[in-house]
Formats: sequence, structure tokens, C-alpha cells
Amino acid sequence: MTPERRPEPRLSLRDLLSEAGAGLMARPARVALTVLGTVIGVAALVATLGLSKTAGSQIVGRFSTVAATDVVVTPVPGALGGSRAASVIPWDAEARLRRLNGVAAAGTLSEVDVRGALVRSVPINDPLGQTEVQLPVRAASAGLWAAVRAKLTAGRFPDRGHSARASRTVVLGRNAARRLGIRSLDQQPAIFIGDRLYPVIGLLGSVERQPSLLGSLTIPNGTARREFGLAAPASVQIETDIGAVDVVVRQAPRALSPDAPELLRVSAPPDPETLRAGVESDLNALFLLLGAVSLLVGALGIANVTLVSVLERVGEIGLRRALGAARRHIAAQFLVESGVMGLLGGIIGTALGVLVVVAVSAGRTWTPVLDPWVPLVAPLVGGLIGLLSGTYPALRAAALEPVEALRAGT
Amino acid sequence: MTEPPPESETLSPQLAPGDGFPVPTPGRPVLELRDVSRTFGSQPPVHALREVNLLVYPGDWIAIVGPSGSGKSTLLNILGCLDRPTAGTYLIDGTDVAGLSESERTAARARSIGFVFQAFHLLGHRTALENVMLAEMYAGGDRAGRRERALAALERVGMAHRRDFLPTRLSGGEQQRVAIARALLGSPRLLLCDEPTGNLDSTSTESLMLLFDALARQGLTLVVVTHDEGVAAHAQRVVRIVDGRLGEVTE
Repeated sequence: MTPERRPEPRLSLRDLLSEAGAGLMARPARVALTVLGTVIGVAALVATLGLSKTAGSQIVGRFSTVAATDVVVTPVPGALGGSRAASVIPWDAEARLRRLNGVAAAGTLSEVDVRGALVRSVPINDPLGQTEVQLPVRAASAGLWAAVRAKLTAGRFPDRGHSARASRTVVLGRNAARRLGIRSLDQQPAIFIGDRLYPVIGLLGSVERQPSLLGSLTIPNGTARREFGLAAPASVQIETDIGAVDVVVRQAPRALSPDAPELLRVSAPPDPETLRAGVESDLNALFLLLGAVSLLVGALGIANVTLVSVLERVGEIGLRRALGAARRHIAAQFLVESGVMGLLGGIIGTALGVLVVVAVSAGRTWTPVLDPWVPLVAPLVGGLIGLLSGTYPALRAAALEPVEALRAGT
Repeated sequence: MTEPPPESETLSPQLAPGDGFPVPTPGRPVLELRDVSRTFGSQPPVHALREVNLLVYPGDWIAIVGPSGSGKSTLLNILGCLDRPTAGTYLIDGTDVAGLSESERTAARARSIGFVFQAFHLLGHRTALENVMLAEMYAGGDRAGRRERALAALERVGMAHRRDFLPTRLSGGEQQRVAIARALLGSPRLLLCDEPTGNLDSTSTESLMLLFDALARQGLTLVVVTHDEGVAAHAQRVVRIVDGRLGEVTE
């Protein structure tokens, strides 16, 4: 035999496909039942992805204006030495920002280092009860209260005058007031921070931003500077007009720090797309899990049926080997059969899933929204599952010895 | 297309070039077994074949007979490249099969050997014609004309009128004829038959023997394993195998 004429067994793709097709067509009822698991799995996946996308689009329509108008400016941590970074935000930040178009309200907010000073309320002097507590102290400019949409249950907010005079006044957050045992301002309560007396002029009922204010004491900026040596505001809270976030995000650093705007970091609300993704992922998790489980069941079904089919067709496998089929041809045939089953299930499942999305949307008068890649990729997922689950049976079939296969099969 | 159509004029081995083996010179054996042994590694080892020697020449019509368990099937599997000898050499057209890789042996099977089985091994959901066409699928034959060649093969065994029948609607004898047509399709060097009449009644057996005689007259090399002495009576040569040893009975 001359080496260059060594014959290799061959099988054309067309023959392979037609043989696999004939193998499937021989048992249509079984194929239909086998495919069912994949159909359900893919349909569940497509419907989940489509419905959550659709629902997400509805949610964006009702996107909260609170979140959409929230901008916070802070210095970039550690960009420069501590002293320089501390002075990036000027004391007149509020006044500078109010000059910008699109800023509805702005105010500075800083943590105040009280050097471990404890806080206690005045009238109670109960030796058994805990009367001294450690509470965070913050300094705010007058405009902050509007910028966080704060509401008082009693009293008033400190104004610019309080800050200018560095007057010792304090606003108590709801939770801080509860810890200090202060429920109303009727008796003009005052508290000690360390050994200094601060009259309480306001009780904070709620805020829509910076919820930590509810658990702290807030004093005017000027007071914090004089009493505790606050070097510079730590952050600026801005409420923008609706739709003005982009403009404010660009302009605020320059207004606050014209010589070095890059030292400021602006955190803006997540854009609607990101928010939608978040909503979707919450909605999806359960149904995607459901779809994955049905796909797993479908894959096991295909694997099982293909394995049974291999065992049933041992004689056919032996015959094909005798006719000159190589092991890889046998493996390929069963792989294609299981792959086609998976693909079939994927296609039918995708169609069903799209139908579900449209039907539910119609029922709720939503606009059905579906990523274009979903109906394209979903059938391939089915096919891939078919291929994967057919691998073991196909290898079993390829491993059969022709002699034994011919003897065993009839 | 490298294969000639399976018509009787081109069936003789000398006229079938391009199937992967050198065209044999006249008088040179198609098959040659030299001291072939096959031992199965069970405990204790089973010596299915012991130093078997056999020469098969082009156009031979040989019957291998012997009692059950004598090694007939083992010999047939080795002749058909379905199994490998544990010792000795097996030459097809002078090529040592033991030196071929598995895929080369598979290719040799596809191109040189047609198989006929006791159990027919027809695919139940395919028509007679489709079953015959299956034979060319792995031999790399041209797809175009496959149907015509399969029809010609069916005609040769007298089954053209049943081409669209499913095997379940054919009698045993008819099924075996379809299986023979399938074995003939690749213009094989050799037709290997394993108890071809084992599942047939006497009438079908007799008509199948007439077909074998006709094929042999057309120059086909036939090796038939059987324990039916009536079948063996049709053969030119009868080789008897007992306890794995081969003995020539008639020439």
C-alpha cells in the first residue's frame, strides 16, 4: 500500500445530517417528549428576561425624583496632603453653588471631631441610668436642610446668622433625640456636648437624603469651626432641578474649586439604565433559577433518552461500524441527534417565551420590550445543552466494539 | 468519483482500482492468513483460533463450516477486520492488516469488504433503497448517483420492485437480499457472510444459494460461514474448522 493513498473513512456533512435526521424522525413521539424539558426551560428564560425588561421599562417611567436629583461632592481622598485636601471645599460653597443654573438647594455637611466628648441631656441626673452617650456630631450649612429635604417635628432650622455668630445651637435627629430622652421642645431642652451647653432648637423628623442625620447632632458650621476647629467642609449635598444632573455634575467642581476641580469627586445618581439593570436583577433571580432548573431537567432528559437510544441501536451501530463508519462518525451522529433535539427545544421554547412576554404585556397594557439578542441566543443555548447532554451517550456509542455490537443487536 | 459502478462487468477484483489497495495480479490471493491465532484473555484463556492458514483467491466461493464454538465467528471477524489476531499475519491483497491503524482498518472495511449478517441488520425505519444507500455513506463515494448505484445493486439481487418497502414488510429472504445488495454496493473485494441463511426457511435458503452461485459466476469472492451443509454444498471450497484449527475439505 502506498502511503499517499491511505484511505481514511469519510462522512459528508450532508450525509451526517440526513442520517441524524432520519434517526430522529424514526421516533417522533419520543423526540417530542424529550424536547419538552428544554422547551420549558428556554421558554422560562426568555419569558423572564423579556418580562423583567418590560417591567423595568415601566419602572423607569416612575423613577423617583429624589434619587434623580441627588448630587454629592466630596474631595478626592488622599489626592494631596491632608491639609490641602481639607481646604478644597470652601466655606462659602453654598453661596457659590446657588449661583449655578440647575441647583435647587445646596449645603455643606461635615463630621465634627469632638475628641471623644460625650453627650448628655440636662435635666436627667439619674445615677443608675445611662445618661451620657456617644453620638456623632455633624456640622451643616443653613442650606443643607433644604438639600436633604429635611422635615422638623418641632422647632426650627438654624439660619445663616447662627453660623455667623457661631451660636451654640443644635438640631437633634429623631433617633439621637430618642437616645437622649428628648421628645419635645416644650421645655426648651438643652444638651451638653462635653462640658458645653447647647440649646436644642430643632427636632428632625425625617430626611430624604443623608439618613445618618437622623442619628446625629447637627450644629452650624460657624459653631463647629470655633468650638471644635473644623478645618473645612467635608462634603457638599446638592439637590438639582430635574434633568439638570449632568450640568451640575460638570459645573459644581469648577464652582467650588476653580483652580483644582480634579480634586473633587462628584457622585451623581445612577443613570436610568443602570437603575433598570438593578431592578431587573432583583426580579430575575428567582425566574432565572427556575429556567436553569428546567434546562437542567431538560438536559438530563436528552441525555437519558439519547443513552436509551444508543442502547437500543447497538445493532445499528455495529452495522455502521462494519460498513466502515469510524468511531468519530458514530459519536458525531448521536451528538448531532441530541444537538438537534436541544436546538428544536430551544426554538420552540423561544417562540413560547416571546408569546408569554407579548401576552402578559397585552394584559397589563405594557409595551413589550425584549433585547434583540435574547431570541437569537436562546435557541443556541438549547442546542448547546443538547450537545452537552449528548456527549456521554455519544462517547458510549463510539466506544462499542463492532463485533460485540453486531452480536448483541438484532 | 473513484469507484466504478457495481455492475457485473466491473465486479471482478482485477477491474476495481482505486479502492486503497494495489490491484492484485492474477493468481495472487485476495486474502492470506499465516499462522493466525486469536486468544481471548479470560481465565483460563480461550484459544478461539490456533495457527490458522488460509488462502482465498479472486473469484473463490468458500464455505467455512464447523460446530458451534469452533471459532467460525472469530475467523469471520478477523477476515472482516472487525477483530485483530493475537498472533500471525493477515494480508489483504498483500497488505498486512495488523500494520494498519484503526481508522485505516475501518476504511479498508468500507472499501474492500461487504458484510452479510444472520440477523440482516437492516434499519427498520428506512426503505430498502435507503438501507442499501447506507453502504456508500462511509466509503466516501460520490453522493451524486448513489441512488442509481443502489438501485442497480437491488436489481442485481432481484429486489428492485421492493425498493420503497420498509424491512418490516419484507420476508426474511427478501430482507437478506436487501442486505446483500447493501454489501455489494461498494464493489467490495470480498463478500463476507455470517450464517446468511440462519434465519431463513428452506425455500428462501435455496433461492439465496442460487443468487450466491450467480454472484460467484460474475467473479465475486465469497466467504460464507455456515453450519448448514446444504449451503456448503454450493461452495467451490469447503473449509472445516474444529477447535480453532482449520482443515480444507474440498477443493
